[in-house]
Amino acid sequence: MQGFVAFVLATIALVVARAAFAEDVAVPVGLQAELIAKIASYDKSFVERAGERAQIAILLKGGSADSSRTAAHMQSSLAALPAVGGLPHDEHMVTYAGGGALAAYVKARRIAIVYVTPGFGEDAGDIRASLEGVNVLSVAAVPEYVPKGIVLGFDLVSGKPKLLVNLAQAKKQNVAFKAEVLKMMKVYE
Amino acid sequence: MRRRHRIALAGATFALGVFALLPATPARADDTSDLQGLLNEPVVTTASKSAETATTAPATSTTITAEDLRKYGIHSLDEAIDFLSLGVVTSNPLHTVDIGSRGVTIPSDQGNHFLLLVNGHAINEALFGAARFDRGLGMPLELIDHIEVVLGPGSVLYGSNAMLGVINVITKRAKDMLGGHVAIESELGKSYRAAGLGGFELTLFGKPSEVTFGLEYFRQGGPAFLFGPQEGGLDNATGQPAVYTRDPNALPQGTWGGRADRDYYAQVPSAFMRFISGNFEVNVHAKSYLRSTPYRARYAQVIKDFNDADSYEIDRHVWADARYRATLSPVVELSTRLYGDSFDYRDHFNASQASGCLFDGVSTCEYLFSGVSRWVGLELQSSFDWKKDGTLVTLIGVDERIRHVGTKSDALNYATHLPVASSISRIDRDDKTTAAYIQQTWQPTPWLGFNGGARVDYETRFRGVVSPRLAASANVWRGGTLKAVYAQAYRAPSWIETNFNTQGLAADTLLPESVRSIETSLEQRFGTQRILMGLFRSWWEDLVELHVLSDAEAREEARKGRISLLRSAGFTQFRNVSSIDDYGMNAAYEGTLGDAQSFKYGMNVTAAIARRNEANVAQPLRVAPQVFGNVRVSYDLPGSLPIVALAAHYVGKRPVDRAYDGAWEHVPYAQPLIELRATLSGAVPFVKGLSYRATANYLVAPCAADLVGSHSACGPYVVGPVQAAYAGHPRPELSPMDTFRVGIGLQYDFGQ
Repeated sequence: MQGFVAFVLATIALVVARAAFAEDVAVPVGLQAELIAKIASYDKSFVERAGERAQIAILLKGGSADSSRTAAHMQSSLAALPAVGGLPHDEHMVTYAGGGALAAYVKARRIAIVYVTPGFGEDAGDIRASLEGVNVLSVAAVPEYVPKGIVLGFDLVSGKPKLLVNLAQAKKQNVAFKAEVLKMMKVYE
Repeated sequence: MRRRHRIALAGATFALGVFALLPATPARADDTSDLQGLLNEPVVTTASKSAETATTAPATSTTITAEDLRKYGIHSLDEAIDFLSLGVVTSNPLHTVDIGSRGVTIPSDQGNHFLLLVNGHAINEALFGAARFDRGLGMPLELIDHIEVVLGPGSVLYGSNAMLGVINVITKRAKDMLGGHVAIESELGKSYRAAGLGGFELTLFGKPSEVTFGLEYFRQGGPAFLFGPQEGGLDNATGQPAVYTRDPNALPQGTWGGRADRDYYAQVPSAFMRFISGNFEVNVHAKSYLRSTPYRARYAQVIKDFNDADSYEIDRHVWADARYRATLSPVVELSTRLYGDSFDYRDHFNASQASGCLFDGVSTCEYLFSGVSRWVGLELQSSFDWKKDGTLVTLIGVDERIRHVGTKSDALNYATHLPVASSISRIDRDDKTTAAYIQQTWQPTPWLGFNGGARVDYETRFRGVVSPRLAASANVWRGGTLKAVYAQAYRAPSWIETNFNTQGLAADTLLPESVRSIETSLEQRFGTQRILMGLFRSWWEDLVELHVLSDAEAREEARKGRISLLRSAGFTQFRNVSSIDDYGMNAAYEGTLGDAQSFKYGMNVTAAIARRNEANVAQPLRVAPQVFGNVRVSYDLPGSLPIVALAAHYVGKRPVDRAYDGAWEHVPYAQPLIELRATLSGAVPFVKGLSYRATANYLVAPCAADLVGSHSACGPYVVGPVQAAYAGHPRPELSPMDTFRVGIGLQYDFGQ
């Protein structure tokens, strides 16, 4: 019994010591990719923003294992889809280096979608502020980021995916979803 | 052959019905049905211990949502299963419900062939393997986020008991029930419940945290049923007419039956709490389940007095589960789970029948059986996402558990409450179980996925058991997913089966029960419509049953000195007795119509042929319907008008629990059952935060013309002292069913 207890304590200590706080990616990344591909076509500004080919930035948080993992998963899931919002597309991994750098990158590379991976709980406010006035659809892997200012997100309610939208931020980023899709979303004003 | 035709006919009828229901209008160019279809895709975690879409999960499953539970007037887990799930059916003996799947039900198994999880924590205990799939679950429905019902063997990740399937009850997160809530509900004149719930988010040590909780009290009393009369004949001990009550004026001598208006009740107080802070999660659940059954039967207090409110069963279960998960690198994720359970059970009944109370000077015996099952365990689990993109993931885990089980039986004088004999049937054992499992998922292309794994379980009573599973899913065309699964599962014999002395004869070495299953399914999605067709076959081996010793077997055991033929008769012993061969089809169709998905519908059908084999004799399974299913439809009326929902479930004809060992004139069958449920739910006008639901339930289950009794609806259980035919009683009396119930409930959400 003593050995068992020691085993328990040692294991817990090991895990607690090594781990950083992980944020919940509620909806499987593969399904998120499919949803992004579909929803983009209901953004009235998407085609104009993207041009002939949609550029998608996947935002990485340096040092976050969750972020790296989700980013890689999203990249491969999107790559498997023939179209995003009806357009061919490219994915770019971008390590976050501050809000200003992100905004500059989005403008310079004509990014249509920024996918925010986990690990940005404390940076979501900066991302929101830096993307104000930038023509881009920001999408959160983690539902908690939407009320913090990421335009679109995914949650799981009763075991089914639910779309979340920050409508105020959407307007500031020139994202305009059609009314029939807004009806499916949980709206944060 | 006729049965095969019947199954084929059922399948064809289902398919035709489905296509008849499909919307005739073509999809518009700006139609959101594809998007809505994706949003209707359930995400499940039970089948492979990771989040994935139900379509690609390595098992057939149903997700029952909180919205479904409320909308269709569901009061308990068994109702949710019957009205809303695919392939699973329950049977209510007015005792704890029996649960079966795809043609196989093992009556009175206390749910030990189905694994029940609450937030991933296994509820089935070791003494009986018991889990309660009815009100005894002890969980306020308002606290349930969704229920995953997974069909088929699931031991590959969960070990013992997951033979018929796995049901995982997942509770809400705080964000989905913020603030305080109170709910009251009553099925008028029969039951009521009151619940208080809450969900709160907070920051603790800089980490986002949350707590959800629920407290509930449920009480049921009645309805009263009219039984018998059954002539019980002469008491073996006295040679006089048998006595079935301690009140000499209540019943004529030798007669059992009358109005039972005092001994059909239940009380279930319960409490649940879930706390999450960062990567750390704790679940705590406590419940007590007191119930009394208004009849005597083979498995329900065989010799209890008639209409005796003092005869009851109670179980209490407290458990806690703490887990911590961490992503150590982009490749490695680790989780640790420490858990502990305490379950105890008491069966308390009074018997005035002389042959059931053989103590000098004692007219009524008070029998008390008590059992306890406690365990503490640690599970370590790691996943390795080798390519860091979810396409090649290895899951490995070990689960070690230390257990204690104990039982004893006491006989007391009812008049004095003093013991009249020493305790018997004692079990007092400690043991340890160890399990290791591995699961490999591989998605070589976006349209093809494989899932293979195995688990090995060791415990002190038998050698290691290996439970493998191999599954593949392929998106064969747009919206179409073809799936094939092979799986094995096992059930460790309960400690009651291996160590309990029934009539003085404990079991010899018992092997674990095992099942092998193969199934294939095709699921097609088109917009918001989904259709699933599946075929399955399973082979069950070494089923443990209470075997009645033949005269020759009894003489042989007496020769060995294990029993005394002078002291008793009718010796029984738990043995690996039988096998089951089961095959059939299941099908599901569901969809929505309208821009706001205001019109929703669905149906599930299962048809199976299952045969129990013992000594080269094959028979249909007792209590197990070969055809069953459900259909539902709901409409959200516009504005503040209510949601109208109708649901029905059907259970086909099935042999009764004593069909083959009662020497009846004909093999008795319970007739088909249809249960209809209408529900209105919505917000109470002008009172912010207050909502209601009203239900009406009507059940039709005709009693066969050649059965005894006066019930308006009959279930598949033989009741009363006449459990086998004898002169003057060639036919059985079957258990009654409650035919009509109406209910009303109110919920108030604070802070809305």
